[in-house]
Amino acid sequence: MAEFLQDFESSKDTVVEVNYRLLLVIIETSSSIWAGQGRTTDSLSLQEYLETVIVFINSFLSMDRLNRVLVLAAHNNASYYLYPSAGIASLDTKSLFDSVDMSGVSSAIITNSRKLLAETCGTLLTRDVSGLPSALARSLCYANKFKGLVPPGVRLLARALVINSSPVDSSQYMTFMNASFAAQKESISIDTCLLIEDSSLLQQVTSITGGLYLRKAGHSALLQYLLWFYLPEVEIRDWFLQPPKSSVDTRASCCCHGDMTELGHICSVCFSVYCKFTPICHVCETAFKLPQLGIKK
Amino acid sequence: MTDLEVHLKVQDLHSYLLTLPKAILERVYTNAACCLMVFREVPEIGRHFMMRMAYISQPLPISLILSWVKPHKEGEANTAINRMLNLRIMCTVKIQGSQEKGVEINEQFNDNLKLIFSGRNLQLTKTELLGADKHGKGLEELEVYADERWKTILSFMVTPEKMQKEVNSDLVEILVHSGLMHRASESHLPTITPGGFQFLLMNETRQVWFFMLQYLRSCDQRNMDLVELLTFIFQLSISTVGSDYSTEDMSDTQLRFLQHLREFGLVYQRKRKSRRFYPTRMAIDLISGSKDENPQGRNRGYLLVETNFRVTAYTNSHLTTNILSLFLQILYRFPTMVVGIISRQSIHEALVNSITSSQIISFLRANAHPAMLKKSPIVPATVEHQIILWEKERDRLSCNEGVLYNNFETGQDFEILKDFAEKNGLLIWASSTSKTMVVTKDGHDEVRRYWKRNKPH
Repeated sequence: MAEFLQDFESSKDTVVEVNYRLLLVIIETSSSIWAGQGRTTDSLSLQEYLETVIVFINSFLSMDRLNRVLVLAAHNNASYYLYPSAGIASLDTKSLFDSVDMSGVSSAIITNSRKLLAETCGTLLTRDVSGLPSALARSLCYANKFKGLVPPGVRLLARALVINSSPVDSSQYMTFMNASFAAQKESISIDTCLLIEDSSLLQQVTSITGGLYLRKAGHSALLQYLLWFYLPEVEIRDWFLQPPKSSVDTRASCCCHGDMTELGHICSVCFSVYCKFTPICHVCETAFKLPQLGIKK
Repeated sequence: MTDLEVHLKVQDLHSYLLTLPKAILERVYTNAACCLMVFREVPEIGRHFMMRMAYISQPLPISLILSWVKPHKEGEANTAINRMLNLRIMCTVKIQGSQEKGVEINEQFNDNLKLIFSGRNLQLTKTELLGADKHGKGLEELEVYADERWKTILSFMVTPEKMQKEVNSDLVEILVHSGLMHRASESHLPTITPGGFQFLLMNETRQVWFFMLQYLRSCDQRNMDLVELLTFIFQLSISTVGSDYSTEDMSDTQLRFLQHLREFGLVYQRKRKSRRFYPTRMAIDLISGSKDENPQGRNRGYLLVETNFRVTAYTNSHLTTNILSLFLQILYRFPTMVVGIISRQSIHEALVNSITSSQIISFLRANAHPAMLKKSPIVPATVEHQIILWEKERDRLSCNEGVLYNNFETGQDFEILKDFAEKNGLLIWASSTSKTMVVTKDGHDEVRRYWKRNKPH
């Protein structure tokens, strides 16, 4: 009996599983970053930067015919679709079967980002918040809709890649956390490639979702960096030697000031973190008793 | 190997390419679409090596490449590198000032890869100049068309006498050449072979791939240039269903090939002279048929297998019913539905036709109804196991030639001889109650000699 089951198992292996792989790419195009940048030998222009990203995306699409991609721009304080141009509305069953036209991807990214820059160059930034959390949430919605379209018996394996070059404001802590826990639940790992100084927030996002967090100062050899570390799928990264992991700063940011806190007060109802005592929780409006002042009756 | 034991082997893309001469391979790699398809078939680890090497314009020593992976993957990495060297995607070169040989990606191949990555358009020429097609076909019409064409070929295999008129003689030649059908004499209609039965049970993409390989093998006889055909196949597989492409830039060989593809249902062309054609889903899935993949859920599954071995098939096609009856005992037939039962007898008949249990099971899986796909395992385990057990049942008897020894006078004589035969590994079977033993044919002389020397009187 055992012998026959063994034969049986091996016969099972011959059927190759087919999986759709979806890569959600979020790139930073904020005008404040790219406009203000003086040209040094190390830095890329926005055009060169986009070209690098396009090469990376095309190499991902070349890997397998079932590979699919979504490209979002986190621009100023909002997010925009770069590819597919129509965004989530373009998802239908037919689009799943078609092979991806890679030249179409490249031209869509270039034209959409040009359009985006032209449209937003006149507007003044009112609040200095990043469009990153919005883009992250959007990409997760896209992955979710995609998942619903995939025919039975076929799986969707999605992961996200955030290439960020602007500082992340810790006032958006809650949005980031909500997005990363949603991603974790859907087993979507979020990889981040940072082109500026470390951000503990993004570090937490990656560590929650099991992604890869790397900081790369400057733009030099960005393409090699992406191809070496971010191209392999999460399950095969173990095959290759990996750059050493830095320790994760797990401090939460407080709801009252947006500062990173190590020790603070936590609302017993909604788990909001406060660096100082507040009688009423800002988030769920629970009223707390004032602390006893040590006077005993 | 006897005729009954034929097992249809389907080569994948790489093993097919390996059979081609080097010069042809080099020519194939001049086309970017070909490079992309060949690249996709490289083992995953190899693809990552190539990605890392594509933008380094100098040869690297193999030991350096191996140092990129962790020790437990080194074997796999080596196999991948060797595969790429054999396919001439990579070549060895001497590194200056070093003992060790280095490898680099075939220059032509690398240039094409870079073109692909930078977003170069690889698609066939579109028909923008011709304007919109007033006889254009919708997606569903194309699907129906492709299906119908392919089913004609399959039906011809099952019932040649009925379908004779609808099938072109070239096609019949390919079927006979590939051993799917057999022709007793020139004037006779060909009949299906055991290999043909196995072919019917494969999933559609795999069938098309197998068929195409056979076609390519015989292209010399047809005076067609293999490279042009391959290039066209690869370009088709990255095209889009529902778009029309122009025949303008195609060579004569490719135009002839197009007419054949039209017959198989891989492309739709309204008239022979039409200046545009539409690839169908089958053309795009062609290369994926080289791997044994699950069909990419087209929601066309129609089979329900129950744990009581009853199979319900929602179909009204004669072909499907014929295929099902290869391994199924058909109970009822309704206009849209066939009910049958998997029995020991029916499986046995299939096995006699040299269909294997795994082929039956993968057929059941591949055509499972969407409702069944949601379950894991897709086909009930009892049914799968039973089919395998029924196959094993046939292997219970094995034949050995031997010589029978019996009518021993005493039990002692029997024991002496039995011990000797057993010690020398010549014994096949023995029973001490009936004092009978069987020794192998080769051992007979030796045992007899021993008996003559050691006779106890």
